[in-house]
Amino acid sequence: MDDNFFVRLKGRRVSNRFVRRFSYITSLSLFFLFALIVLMLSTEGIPLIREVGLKGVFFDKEWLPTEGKFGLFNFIFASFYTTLLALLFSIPVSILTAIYLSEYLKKKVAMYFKLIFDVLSGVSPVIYGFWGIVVIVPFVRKTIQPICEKLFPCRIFLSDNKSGFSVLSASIVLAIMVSPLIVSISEEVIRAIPFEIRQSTASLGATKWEIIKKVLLKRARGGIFAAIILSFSRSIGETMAVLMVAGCQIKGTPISFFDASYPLPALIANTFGETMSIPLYKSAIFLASLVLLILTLLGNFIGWIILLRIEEEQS
Amino acid sequence: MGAKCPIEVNNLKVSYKKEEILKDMNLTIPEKGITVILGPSGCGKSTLLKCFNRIIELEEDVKVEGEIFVDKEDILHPKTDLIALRKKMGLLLQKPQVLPMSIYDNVAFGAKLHKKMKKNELDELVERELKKVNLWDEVKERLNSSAQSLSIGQQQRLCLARGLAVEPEIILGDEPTSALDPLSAEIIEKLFLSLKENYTIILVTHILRQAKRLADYVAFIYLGEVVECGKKEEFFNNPKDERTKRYLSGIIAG
Amino acid sequence: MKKIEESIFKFLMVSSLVLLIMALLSITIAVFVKGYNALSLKMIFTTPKGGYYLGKEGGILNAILGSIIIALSATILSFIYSFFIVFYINVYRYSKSNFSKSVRFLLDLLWGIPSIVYGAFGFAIMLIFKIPASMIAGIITLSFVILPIMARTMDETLRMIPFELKQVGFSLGATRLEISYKIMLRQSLPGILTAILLSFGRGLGDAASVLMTCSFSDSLPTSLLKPVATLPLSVFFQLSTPFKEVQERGYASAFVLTFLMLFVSLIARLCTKSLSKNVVK
Ligand SMILES: Nc1ncnc2c1ncn2[C@@H]1O[C@H](COP(=O)(O)OP(=O)(O)OP(=O)(O)O)[C@@H](O)[C@H]1O
Ligand SMILES: [Mg+2]
Repeated sequence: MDDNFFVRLKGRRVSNRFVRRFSYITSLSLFFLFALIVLMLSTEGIPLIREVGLKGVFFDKEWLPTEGKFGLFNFIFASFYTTLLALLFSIPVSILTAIYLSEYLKKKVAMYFKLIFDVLSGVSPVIYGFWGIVVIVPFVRKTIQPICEKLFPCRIFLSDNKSGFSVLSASIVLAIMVSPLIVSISEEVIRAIPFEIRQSTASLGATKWEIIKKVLLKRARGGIFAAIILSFSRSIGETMAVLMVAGCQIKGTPISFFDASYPLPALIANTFGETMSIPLYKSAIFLASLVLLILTLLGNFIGWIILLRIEEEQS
Repeated sequence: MGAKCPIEVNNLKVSYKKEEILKDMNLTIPEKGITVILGPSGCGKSTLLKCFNRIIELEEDVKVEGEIFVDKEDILHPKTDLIALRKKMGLLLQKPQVLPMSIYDNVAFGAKLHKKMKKNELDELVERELKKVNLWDEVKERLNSSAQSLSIGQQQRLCLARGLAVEPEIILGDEPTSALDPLSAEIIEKLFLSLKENYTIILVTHILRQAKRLADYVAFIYLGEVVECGKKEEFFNNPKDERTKRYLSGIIAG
Repeated sequence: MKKIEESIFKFLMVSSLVLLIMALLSITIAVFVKGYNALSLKMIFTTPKGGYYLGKEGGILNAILGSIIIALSATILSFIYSFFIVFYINVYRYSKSNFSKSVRFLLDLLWGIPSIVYGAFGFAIMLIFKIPASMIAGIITLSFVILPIMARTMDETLRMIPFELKQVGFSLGATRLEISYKIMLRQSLPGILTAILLSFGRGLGDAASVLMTCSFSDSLPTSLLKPVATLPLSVFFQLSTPFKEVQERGYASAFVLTFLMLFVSLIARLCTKSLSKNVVK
């Protein structure tokens, strides 16, 4: 081997080593970025807790920034209310769809449906909000609310908010937004169940539906649970679509489906601009972000751990 | 054995995680000619071969101990120049694995890494190497089309040409014909016979008849140990070890 | 009895699927019907006129250009960032090593953080350095939002590459760097392009992060240090006004935004095919 080779090799080694180090630092910086996000939101948000106390922040219902009252309870409650209602709508529909796609349709046909879900779930949240305003809100106002008031005159169906911008509208929009996620994860989990398992049950004389009910759903329940948790995270952090259709009025705790709802992300988006001058107000907004961060991280953490487990079991 | 020994394996031990795959292996491989490594499936042939150019280290949780001398240098020593070592050894895998580029670039790939070359030098090199593996006439019209478009047999020859283009001294073949149709396999076998004058070739196989056709020397491996090695005639006509006899008579399944 | 149960559930399943598809279709239809009526050449090629924010004339050129510039820049930034990460965890490290796994997991977590939180994070940084709402703040914040999407999508394609391909590279004496950009890059080119387009699409559509960092503006984007308009915010702000003419701009923005996003995702699928010419299967 001639000298030319070794001279060249030296250069190749140097650039390789440089890129190795640089990329290593870049990868590590990702952890740094994550820590920085948590740190920034904490340092900005904690002062409020120090001032008002945990109880004052999380259990106080009063939000009067000019009087120094920063109770986040109503917002947190609204977040959970809207999100859980959305999941209530979305879960049965999504799981039924997922079963149908994985068990009753050919893989290719199912792929087309998943493609549609895929493309449309990538569309901007603002577009979902737009749809909410032009389709769902009027529908709720003109049809659902009057009917419900007549048929079931109880607290959760009665409200003096007649605008249609409500918990229910926000939940419907959210439900449609997160359904593709639940469908696609559940479908994959169900489809990944080995053929032998279906076959062995089928040979015992079980019908297709019995296999689905007794075997597949049982085996897939971890994955489906993960899908639900992940979509919980997704919808509790969803901002724009909710902001556009939820009504967002500071008017006490939403009880009825038709009350206006003011969830955390909407609060952040709506008020950050005016907060700069009042230190505690600013702190409240960052604290709200921190709460949101923790909630979504928790959901994602659990969801992904479950999915990773399943993946490892399969390989 | 009369020939010089370019490769000498001393007390080689390899383990994945805690499981020992190669147990205290000793082996000498003479210069030039074809040394066939025989053995049933799972006995560690591929593992041994991967030690020669230290590709084995790419896998996780492997531990390699012992010495392998190539030209009197211990290549398992941590200071070994891996790139120079790998340039010296051309590896041919079981399933032909072409690179995601044109036929021309596939052949030129390795050579271009190691040496700065002009366009006409490269052209010459590509033609020369493709001719060595009898592929030139089949592909000279479409050098710029994707290597993926070749048949499996052609792909394997392309892989051989790609390896030869970096001017190795030793060729390692890990069952290079097992994924091919009989005709392509025969072409590859003929190529090996024509190359053995100039290269030291180490060939893994578990096909006895292929070993008989190609080998100058044979090493028989069983359960991670070298059971017997020697010249081809001696090995096939007069095996000494009981296990070799049983393998040759087909009692130990290939 | 069992038969009836199965039929009932099958009916429910089909209805669920139909319901979802109908809902999604109704979104597209709503956007296109409302938007089509609002759309005109003037709408696309002029900026809002006739008064601060609530002016009743003019179009949405400011938002179209703003969105494209911001999304494109953020895509480029996050591409460069994720490129090194993704090749590091797949070529320099063993794909299944603990380090690579934890980077992957971290990216999944980052993916799940809502964009409003990234917005708040960007906003906090801006407060510290006293940066006003500006294009540059928006670009940087948005690039954090799409970073995990970009990196994880690229990572998935690199992870699928057969191990043998790396082995070939090594056995020809290539360094890891050479294996990265001469072999792995070529092999994963279609996947990388998909990742880029996917992230670009997400960048176009994301509103919450830019809401907090680059505000809105009636004029064309000219400076990195000034507020800039984006399509999603154009939809959001102008739809919530009581004036019909302003709302029209919101409809038009929704149309253009949806069209761009669908177009990008279509291109992604087409390009993937034409780029896979050399890819080894
Ligand atoms: N990456 C790995 N991790 C763990 N064990 C491995 C790994 N690669 C190989 N082994 C084990 O090492 C042993 C020897 O494998 P090797 O591939 O060397 O066998 P072989 O003789 O080449 O067999 P074959 O003829 O089937 O190719 C096998 O038992 C195999 O299961
Ligand atoms: Mg083998």
